[in-house]
Amino acid sequence: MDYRKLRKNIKKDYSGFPKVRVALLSDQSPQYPAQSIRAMAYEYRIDAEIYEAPFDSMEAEALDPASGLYAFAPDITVLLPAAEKIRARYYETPPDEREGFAGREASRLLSIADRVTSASGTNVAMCNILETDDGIYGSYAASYSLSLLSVLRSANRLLADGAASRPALGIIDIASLAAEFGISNARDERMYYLSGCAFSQEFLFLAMDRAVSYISALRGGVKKCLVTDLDNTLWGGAVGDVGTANIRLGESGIGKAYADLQAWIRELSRRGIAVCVCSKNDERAAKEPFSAHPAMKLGLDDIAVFKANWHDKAKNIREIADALNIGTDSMVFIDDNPAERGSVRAQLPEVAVPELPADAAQVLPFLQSQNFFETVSLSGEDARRTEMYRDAGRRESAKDSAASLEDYLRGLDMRCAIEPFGEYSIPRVAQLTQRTNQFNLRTVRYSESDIKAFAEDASCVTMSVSLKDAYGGYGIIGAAILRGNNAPAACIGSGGSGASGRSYGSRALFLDTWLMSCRAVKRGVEEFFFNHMVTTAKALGYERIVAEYIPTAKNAPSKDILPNMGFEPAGEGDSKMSSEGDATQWELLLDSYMPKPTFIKEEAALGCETKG
Amino acid sequence: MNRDEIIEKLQSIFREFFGDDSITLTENTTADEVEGWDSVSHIQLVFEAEESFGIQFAADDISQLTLIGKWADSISEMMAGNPNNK
Repeated sequence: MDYRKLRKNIKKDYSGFPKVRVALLSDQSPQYPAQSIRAMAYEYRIDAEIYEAPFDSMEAEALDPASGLYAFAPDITVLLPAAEKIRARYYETPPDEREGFAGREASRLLSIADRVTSASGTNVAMCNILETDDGIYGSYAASYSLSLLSVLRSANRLLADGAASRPALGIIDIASLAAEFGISNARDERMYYLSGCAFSQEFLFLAMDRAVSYISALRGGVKKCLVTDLDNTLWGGAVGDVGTANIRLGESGIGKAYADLQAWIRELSRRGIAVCVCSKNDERAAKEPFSAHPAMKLGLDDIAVFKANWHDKAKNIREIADALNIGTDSMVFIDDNPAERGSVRAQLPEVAVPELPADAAQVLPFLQSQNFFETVSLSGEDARRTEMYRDAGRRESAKDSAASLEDYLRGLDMRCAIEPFGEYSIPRVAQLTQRTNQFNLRTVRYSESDIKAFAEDASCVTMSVSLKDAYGGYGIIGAAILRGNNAPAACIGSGGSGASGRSYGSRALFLDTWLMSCRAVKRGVEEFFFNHMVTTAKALGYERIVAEYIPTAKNAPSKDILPNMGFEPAGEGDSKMSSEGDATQWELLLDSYMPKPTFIKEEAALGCETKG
Repeated sequence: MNRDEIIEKLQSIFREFFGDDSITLTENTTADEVEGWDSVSHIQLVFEAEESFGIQFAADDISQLTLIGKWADSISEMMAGNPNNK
């Protein structure tokens, strides 16, 4: 980290960046960390206004409601406790009283954090403590619970546990950062004795970078997607040239570095980061290693969107963002080729494009040190989000790559289940009648009890359709109600137009409701569903289906479905029908119906899913 | 490296650090005469000089460096003691 260059940020123009009020509480000297926070914030495009609490005033500021801290009204408070203070208290504690020392220190810090959270109503980012030993117990310090080393380690563990149950508290893990950087490089004894700040200049920037990264993440500045190149990034060699069998990937040598990188990327995918491929390659060649190379850690299942083509990478990245419905500023792009990196950086400056080391062995440790995937919390949502990205992205990319709509639909591997309304589907069907606007023939809204009445009426045929495809399940996405002649109009709360009260003759069913969620139209589900309606009606001995289209401001998409299914206009000469304004009447003779071809397989009983 | 050369190099270090090319250092310049040279930047300036001259001050000597002439003396002394700088 070029801290000298970063330090100069403080002279730059921050205007135009959102202002964030950051209070810094420390039990050491605050000036240097404050300067580092301000300078690092520039890198995150944040105008951090810093409140430096006076030297060694962490506790006093937190506890006093009239302190400068609360007068400042921070958006976030950073706590920076000094290991030296803890060490000093440890030394002042007689050895026979050190049992519980770590717990007391952790409680003290957690109660400061709690106080700040409740009094200022803001999040707290607390740096943990550098785990330095004092050499008193030699190697035994690691196992002796009352050594300075063990005490500091325990305190850090307890802080982490405390934060786990405090959503407003984040731990900035500078202890592990220092372990990686080297504790002797992280500390500066001369700084400590001269200024009261024990950190080296460079380490301060590293540590405060983490604090600012946390602040940025709290404000939603998180990365959601990793876009990766393939050749010489995920494996060695160009698969299009050398073939799947000859790419460098495996258990030994540099091939292992690529496998290790893949395993890491798979972990990101498991965490909820959308992993996408963007490679200049023929798609078939590019995908082959994923399915055929035994050492691949990443499978096609781990990839949300797979772009292997000869288009500009920035264009592909934009399309990936669209497919996943995320901003390009939440994406990280890795590519071994400096020209590709430069091109993406130039066209999409908001995408994070790390300057990867040329040596494949260095790429993974470099990426791990970059802290791209900051997050302030995890929830069950995250795992589901991966699934969601994956479904959305894969459908989108299948659409792109399929030579025709037909190939696309075939590739979706769609399976539908159709069932009469039942206990599990009634709430969802009612919800669909209330919410569906576009594909809805008559837009009659029904309550749950209305739907239940239809379900229980022997003269009504009810059916819901649920859909699954290769990329996931949709739950119930369509419903139909066909009413026989004997169905009393009174059983329906809101009757719709006059057509519902008419007689169609004993051989006809009236299509009272046909609606489809727009998530699933244009994929053949409507044809599949209607085939089923006809089959069912025929099996029950009916000869005709009578239908009505009532136009609304929003249901134009369903205007053509009746003629498309083979319905003929009806009602000529019937004054009652022609008087119904814009509504149009239709009729289908079941014997004349030709089942429509679809790419959907019938599946039994998945209809109890009720996906909202 | 003679005193004048050392002071000239210090001047460029100060200019770079403060981003201010109007800074002029002489034997007799003190912290009061350079805008921004305070107790916080003092240590950082010393670290920059150490890096540049390939030397390291003892903690206790850092706070004595109030006058640029003293910087030059100390730096000159330390460089003489370091065979790499001859």
